[in-house]
Amino acid sequence: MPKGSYEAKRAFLVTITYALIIFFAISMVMPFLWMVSTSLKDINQVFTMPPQWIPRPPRWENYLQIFELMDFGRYWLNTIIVTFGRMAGQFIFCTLAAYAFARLSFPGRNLLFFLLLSSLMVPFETLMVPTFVLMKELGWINTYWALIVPHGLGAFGGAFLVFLLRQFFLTIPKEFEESAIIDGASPFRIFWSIMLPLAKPALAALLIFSFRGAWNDFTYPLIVTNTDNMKVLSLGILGFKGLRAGMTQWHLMMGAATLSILPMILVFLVAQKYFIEGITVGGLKE
Amino acid sequence: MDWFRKLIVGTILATMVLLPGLTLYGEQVTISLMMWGGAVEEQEVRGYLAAFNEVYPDIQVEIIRPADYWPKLMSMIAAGTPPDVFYMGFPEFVTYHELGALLDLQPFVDATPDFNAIDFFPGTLDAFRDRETGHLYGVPKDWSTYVVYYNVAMFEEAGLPTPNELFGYGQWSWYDFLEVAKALTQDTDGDGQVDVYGFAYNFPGRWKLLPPAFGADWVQAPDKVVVDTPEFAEAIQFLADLALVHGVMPGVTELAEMSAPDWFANQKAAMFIVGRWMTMKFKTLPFEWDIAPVPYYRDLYTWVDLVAYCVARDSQNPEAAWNLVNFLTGPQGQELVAQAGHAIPTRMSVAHSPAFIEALPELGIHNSVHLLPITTGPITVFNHWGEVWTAINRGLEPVWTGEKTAAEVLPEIQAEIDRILAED
Amino acid sequence: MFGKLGRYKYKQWFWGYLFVLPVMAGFFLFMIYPMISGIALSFYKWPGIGPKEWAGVANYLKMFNDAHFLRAVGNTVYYTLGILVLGIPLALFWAILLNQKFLKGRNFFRLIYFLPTVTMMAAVSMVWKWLLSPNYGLVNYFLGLVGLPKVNWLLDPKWAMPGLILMSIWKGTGFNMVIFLAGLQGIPKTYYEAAEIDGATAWHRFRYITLPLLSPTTFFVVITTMITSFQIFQQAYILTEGGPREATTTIVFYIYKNAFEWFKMGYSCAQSVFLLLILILATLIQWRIQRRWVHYA
Repeated sequence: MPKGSYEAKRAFLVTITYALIIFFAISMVMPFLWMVSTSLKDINQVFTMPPQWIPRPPRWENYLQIFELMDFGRYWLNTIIVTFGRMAGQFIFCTLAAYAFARLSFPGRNLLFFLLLSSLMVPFETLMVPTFVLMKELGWINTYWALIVPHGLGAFGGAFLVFLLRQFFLTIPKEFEESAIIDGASPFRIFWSIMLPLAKPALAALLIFSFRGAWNDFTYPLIVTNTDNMKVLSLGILGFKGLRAGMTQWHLMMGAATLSILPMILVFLVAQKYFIEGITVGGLKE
Repeated sequence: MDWFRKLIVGTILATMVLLPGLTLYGEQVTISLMMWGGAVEEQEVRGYLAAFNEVYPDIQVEIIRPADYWPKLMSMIAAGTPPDVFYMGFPEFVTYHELGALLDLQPFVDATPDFNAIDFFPGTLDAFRDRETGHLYGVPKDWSTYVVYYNVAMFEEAGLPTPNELFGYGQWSWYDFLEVAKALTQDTDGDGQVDVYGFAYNFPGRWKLLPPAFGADWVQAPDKVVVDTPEFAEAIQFLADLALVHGVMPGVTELAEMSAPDWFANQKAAMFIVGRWMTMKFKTLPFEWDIAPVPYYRDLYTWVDLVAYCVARDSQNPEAAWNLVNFLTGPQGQELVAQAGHAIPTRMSVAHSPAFIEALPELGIHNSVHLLPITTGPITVFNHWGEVWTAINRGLEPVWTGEKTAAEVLPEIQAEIDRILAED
Repeated sequence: MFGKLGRYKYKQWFWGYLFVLPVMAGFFLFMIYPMISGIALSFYKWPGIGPKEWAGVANYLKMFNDAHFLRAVGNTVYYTLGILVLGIPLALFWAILLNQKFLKGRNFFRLIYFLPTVTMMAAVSMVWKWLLSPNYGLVNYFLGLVGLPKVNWLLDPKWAMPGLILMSIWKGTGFNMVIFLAGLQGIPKTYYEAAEIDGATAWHRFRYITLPLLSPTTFFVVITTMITSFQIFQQAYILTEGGPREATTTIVFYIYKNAFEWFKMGYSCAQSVFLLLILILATLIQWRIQRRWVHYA
């Protein structure tokens, strides 16, 4: 009898858990489905209650209209250039720095690392005006230089990537490099031939974090770019914002949102393992 | 070699090759024209530029149309890379002129014999002059009086005279307007919810149309803005009550989902008020509509939007910029403006010619309504325009939602305005 | 052998400096220099072009007498508290749900919960503007289905900030959940087994094992969430433009408006310095507290 009630209680708990998990999962996905659904409607279907989930017929031509109304191709191109530029920079420079902070000892190392890490407390949002002024002094306003170089050199969030990689390099046992040191290999040689091949999962995490940061960036490009032909996606899609465009074309706005969200979701689905591991490493160790 | 190292080498090489190429791309030798407005307006402007290039084939004009015009203009000027030519509203002109951002156009005007300053509507040039030297810093590109856009079939179905007729009968005060709007408001499917409103209006942004008609002289000097008066309160309360009490106009909530022009364009509102530029968008609507004068009350009044082309003081090609400005504000450029339905030409010779009066013949609308001399006095501006504007709009929000009356909020707004204007 | 190691030491110096050089250069040029020039600018009156005018501490005095700025601080604190109080327990709750031994498809659900965190905030904000719209919004539709009244989300000053919080929780909770989940998986099973033998209830196990052993994770989550919440800008910029009636005007939004719409660069910098100080102070306080209440397993 007690055993039976234990099992009943357990079955109840299992059911409740699943119910909750599925409920939350649906609420997570619903906005995306609604976005795609709205993007395929015409303006009359948009304004119907109760909501119509499946647009009949789906209006794929909405997407053509988006490309007619705005220079979406250009925004994509800019976003891709900026994203890959920053990724390249962070991939090289943050990895090198992380290796040095983890495995090389030189005077001032801990101080420099501490300084770098403390920059995580200083978000770009507190530096909007002086950054604008600096970019103006450099003559970089409205150029790819402004969009790529600072982040490529690890400013504004790169410290996290350095931290992430450093944590990883710290876990590699000393034995791996000892024999190479005795053979007279330089630190660069050790980095290149021994450490890098070992660090693949961490580097993959770095790349995807870097991708996410660059693809979704908003405030920084808002400040340093001005013209339509330099806009990245996150800014470009605001051209559809109801008030400013004068009309409220929700179906086109949702189409533009879908087109900007999609690449990131695809990348995430492919590389989610590294992503989640990266967060866990960054969040927990030490 | 291991794929990761290939990737590293590849990215280094790609960066070295790409970056210099990218900067070359950024360098343009053309002049730039910064505009606001939607995609439709941009298409029209491209048409003007095509005509410009027939006369000046060597000057390429690049259009910049940011979503947030004023912050971007400010930041480009501050960055030392301003657009060569840009739109400038008359209220904002003072601020930009005082910052020293605008080029003195007087030497160019003096050197252009056929500029013919007398042809511009009275007051339009003066709005862009330096108050002391009288030098011109912007050439009015177009202006627009607010008018009532109305759905012809809806008036017929309701058995009402048109607004133009009512204006002619002398029965077109704001209170007459309210009765007409009531007659046009319908619940077609009987579910207790309004399906067609008599009127749609972006009132949280465009309330400025009403106070002078109600007798409120609210901008008395550049540093004297007086909103705490019974007339001002009456005007604002009247407007708010169109939605709150009479239910003849979509309220704030409804406007968040469908903007005022969309209510009209989707045939869910019978009347709509805004300037001439909406004609450009509405000309493709699949139903018959016309324009009529805005209602009056204690005074005849309609709001005037006036926009000029200014040239940046730091422009690298002031000559080319002037040629563009002069062409677009000249007779030919102004005729194009008239034909597009974009705005009222600033040159009287064009505005009073068939180019404007008979523009868009397929629509059969009364273009001359825009030219009725019903504005009162000179165009008004005040200092700290952006901040004062924000303060009034914010202060009026509780009135639009019905939480407070206009008379209750206006003293607070007045205090805020006085505080802002007292700053130097 | 010692010779080689000795030489390696100096090689390390050379390569070490060389390796950290690009990142440190970026750090000094693009973060430290702007920080210093921002602090300097905060003592000037400057409209963005033309000469700067020395203003002493006038900008700072003005800031603390500026009702709109104080309102922005209040709004930012409100938002941050909302995220901390609602978002973090939810993240922990999700992590506990997903950490159940019997659960099938854990990775799938983790993926789903995490999905919003990788998406573009600008695009997501537009989607939520539509979801939260009063008459045709999905959120109000579901409220109606369960018999609750419509909420005028982004237009009512009382509900605008809750609307932003709701969206941000949807967007960001998956991130914290993943961290909590990893933390939970790091707690040795033996603790629970021992507790079960002692007959501890589920609540007691949670209260006396999970919570204390999870405290480093919780600490990390609270601190990072707080820092990011204080920077809230995009949601306010896109969804509500700071309104209605300043209900969603956050510190960063107000900084942006002052600098790039009202030409008050110096004043805007003073506000930035204030925000920076808050962030640093908060971090330091948390570090001190951490020593007291965080248990390391």
